[in-house]
Amino acid sequence: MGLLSTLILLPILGAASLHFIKDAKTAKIYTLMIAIATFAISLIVYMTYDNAGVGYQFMERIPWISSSTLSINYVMGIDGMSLMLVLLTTFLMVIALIGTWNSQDKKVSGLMALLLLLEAGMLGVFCSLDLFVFYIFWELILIPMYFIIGIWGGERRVYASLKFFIYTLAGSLFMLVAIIWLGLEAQKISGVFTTDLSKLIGISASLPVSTQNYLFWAFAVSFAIKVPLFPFHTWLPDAHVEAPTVGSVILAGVLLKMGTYGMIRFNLGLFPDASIANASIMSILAVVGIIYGALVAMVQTDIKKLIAYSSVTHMGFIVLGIFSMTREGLQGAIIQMINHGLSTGMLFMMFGMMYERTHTRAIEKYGGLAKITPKFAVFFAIAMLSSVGLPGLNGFIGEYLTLMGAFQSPVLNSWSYAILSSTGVILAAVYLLWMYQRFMMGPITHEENRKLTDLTNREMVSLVPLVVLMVWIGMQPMHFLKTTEDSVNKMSDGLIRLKTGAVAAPSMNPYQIVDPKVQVK
Amino acid sequence: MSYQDFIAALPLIILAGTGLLVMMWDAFEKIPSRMPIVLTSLGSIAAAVVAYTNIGHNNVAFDGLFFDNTTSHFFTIVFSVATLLASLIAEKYLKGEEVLVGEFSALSLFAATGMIMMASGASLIVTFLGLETMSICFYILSGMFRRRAESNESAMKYFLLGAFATGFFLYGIALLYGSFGTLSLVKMASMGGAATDNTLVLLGVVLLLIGLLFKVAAFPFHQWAPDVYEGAPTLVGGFMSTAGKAAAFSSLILVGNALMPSGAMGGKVQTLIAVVAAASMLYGNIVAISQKKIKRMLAYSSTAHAGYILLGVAAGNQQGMTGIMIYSAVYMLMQTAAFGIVALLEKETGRGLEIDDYAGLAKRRPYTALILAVIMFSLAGIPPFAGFFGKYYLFLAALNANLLWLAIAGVISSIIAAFFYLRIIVLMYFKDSAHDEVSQEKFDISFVAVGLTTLAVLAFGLMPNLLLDLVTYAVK
Repeated sequence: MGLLSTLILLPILGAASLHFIKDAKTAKIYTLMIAIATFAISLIVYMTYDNAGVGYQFMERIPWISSSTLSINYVMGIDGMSLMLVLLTTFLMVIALIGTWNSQDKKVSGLMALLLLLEAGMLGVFCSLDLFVFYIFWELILIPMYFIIGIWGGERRVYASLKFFIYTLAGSLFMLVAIIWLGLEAQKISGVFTTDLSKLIGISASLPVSTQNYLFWAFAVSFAIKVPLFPFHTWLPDAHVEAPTVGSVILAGVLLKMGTYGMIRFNLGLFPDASIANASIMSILAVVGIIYGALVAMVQTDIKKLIAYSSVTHMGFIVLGIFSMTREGLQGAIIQMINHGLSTGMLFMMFGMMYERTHTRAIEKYGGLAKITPKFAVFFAIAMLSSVGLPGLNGFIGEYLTLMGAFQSPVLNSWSYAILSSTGVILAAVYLLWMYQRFMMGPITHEENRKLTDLTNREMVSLVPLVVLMVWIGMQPMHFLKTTEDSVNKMSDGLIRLKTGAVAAPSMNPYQIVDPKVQVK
Repeated sequence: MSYQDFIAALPLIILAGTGLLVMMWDAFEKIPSRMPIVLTSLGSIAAAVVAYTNIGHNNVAFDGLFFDNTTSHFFTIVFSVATLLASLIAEKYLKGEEVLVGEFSALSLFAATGMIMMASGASLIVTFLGLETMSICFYILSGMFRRRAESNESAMKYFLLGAFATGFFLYGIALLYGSFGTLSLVKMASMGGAATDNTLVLLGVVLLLIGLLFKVAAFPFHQWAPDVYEGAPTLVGGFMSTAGKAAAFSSLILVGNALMPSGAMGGKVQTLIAVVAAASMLYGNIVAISQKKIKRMLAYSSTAHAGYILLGVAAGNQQGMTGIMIYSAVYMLMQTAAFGIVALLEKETGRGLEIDDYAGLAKRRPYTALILAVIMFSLAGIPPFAGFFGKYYLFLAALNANLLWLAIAGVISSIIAAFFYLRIIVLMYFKDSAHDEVSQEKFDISFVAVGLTTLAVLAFGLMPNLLLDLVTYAVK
């Protein structure tokens, strides 16, 4: 069995064996150990991953369902993009477990089992290279997340969990039809129904553009709901607000990335013509989402909702970067996925820590906390500034690259996307700084807040690695960009060539553009 | 008639023989006992095993009366397993009503015999005999609880409407006989089936279809199902809606193979079936949302599931046939488990018929709730459970037959369906119970049977090849 299967199987076995552990503390320690082991395996994958290698690595291919006219294989493999997301998943899972250690006391072993199942599902999504297998993992995620929101969530948890489930299911069923359609196209050519991505890529690209268009949208809607792209975002604030902290962290940190991952892997990968044809529509939706999300975030009185809407904005940048189809845009989109996972994950987690102390989400119940909980204020400021996109921290790199990509994109062929979405950066500063001000600065408005305790050592342990990564990515992005460089360049060049007939100019090499020395000037 | 012919019909002979044995036992025993259940279980296991060894044959036995091929044997396995599960659940469900045990066992065995005749009928007269044998057993079984008004009402309703449907079926046979001069499906097919666009033939085919669509409770022939399922003993409702439907679908495959018009009218019949399928899926799922009683909800959802299977009939291709067989088997497991849980809860707690009774079930009975949750996810078609794979195959068939609109109707109705299946899970896991009764789960044989059925649903979802290999034997 290959490393990737081990990676997926370990949490599943862990979840199954949790059935026998009833004691809450043992269950948590056990789950943490499983999560750390999974993270360790993903690090081994990272160490042995060959940045210069061509195509997918760590390939596994096991026949699964087969008959004379049907061949579905369990195919696993990763490229740079999947690798980054796998690392994000395993890393955030460990962090989220430590960070929310004491936040739940009811049915803990159940929650832990669902979290592990969720992790397995997410890893499966990022690693599978067969559309059928991908779809199964994609849907598998619904079940644990549904229960996490529905059992451990807030007052309106039933509504939120149902909305989350139905919304996602609605999108993904159309994707299922598209997957079957693609398989049948393969059957017409080779006589065997297959959903193997490597076999489908050539077939789908040779389909007539009108067919490509239908299929493109079937996939795109399903991913857009997950991202969520405006106007499919309405489930997100509900789900985030009602979900328990650990659920929010994973939801914002990893789950949303499945949508943008799918857009790059399947929409751009399978339907190049349709992607180019629909790039402007997707980008317009992204830009609308960037501005709309920011404006709505500004007026929120509920901090969790505010962070949720900020996700809509940030994910908009990612989608814009993807559909710019330039090297910078795609690189920026991938690094921004990681950034958003770190910064928004951290914001949700830190607010969760505060919520455990105060049990209120209303922003007016806070104020002046910097005097009472200085350590909290510092860490929260870092997360907030990373989310704003302060140069030197990770958020800047992602937003800068995606905007740059949108600016020079021959596919979008207009500056207006970049210009309009850069207002999103300004608005982000407005709503996040304003939130921080009302939350942390000024006089202490509520006397009961004086009793609040500062971050504990355990909480610090969970936050420090996040900060380290934020600074690391901010200062030395190349270390992370080079992992994805190879696959991104190939994809981007192919698309740009399809559009303009020319390969992207070498001056657009992200090595030069994101050189940190250049930024400092 | 040769030795082979009897081997082919051995499952039928075993089931019928066991049925007779059970009746005799019942008549002569002094004190009602559990023996009929033991006999029924053994008999149905034996029938399933024999049918399994028969898979791979491809003959017509008894001088063209009885199909001896993988399709018929696969369905025989389905019927036998359904009978086995029904009798295992009856172990608990009929506790305290020992008088009924013998009756139920014998009748379910005879019903299964009828089903096998439907799945193997190479002559329409055999199909008809099977249909009648099965139906009459069902009429009696629905009214099994003689002292309960609703049970009697259910039996009466089912009998009256069922008799009508049988009339249609018989009329269809008459017209086909008039056109072809034979009752043999094989001969009809060799005469070109309905390719001739003969109006009489088409009329005959459509009448046959009506008779069978009534049995699968497809829209607009579904009206009886909610009332009958609700009034009939839960156990019987489960048996009827699974094995009974599978039998009708097995017949639909045979009739479709021989007589599906391929001429100019062919498209119209296909469209007719496709419309019935779409209407069943949408109507069944939409109406199921507003139900307050779980058996009615399952009844309407069973109309929707009949619609899904009809996707395969409408597609009319090999994948369609495979899909019908897989989904019939999977649906039998899912629906039996769902009805089984309802029946066991009803028996143990006296409640469980209202959907609201399921509030907080996860706290009171974690395993029962887990089983029901898995079944609900599977019925909703969420991977990795078998219901998903079945549905996948049917969508595949529909798309392959260029019925994109039908597949999309299926998708939309699946989304609607998720709503009410999830409601049960919401109640079980997210809500607190209105009653504080604490009753222990009893891991008796009935419960274990339901649990194993659920495991099978998971196993077939993870390893669909287990089913696919059996089924594709036939289609080749």
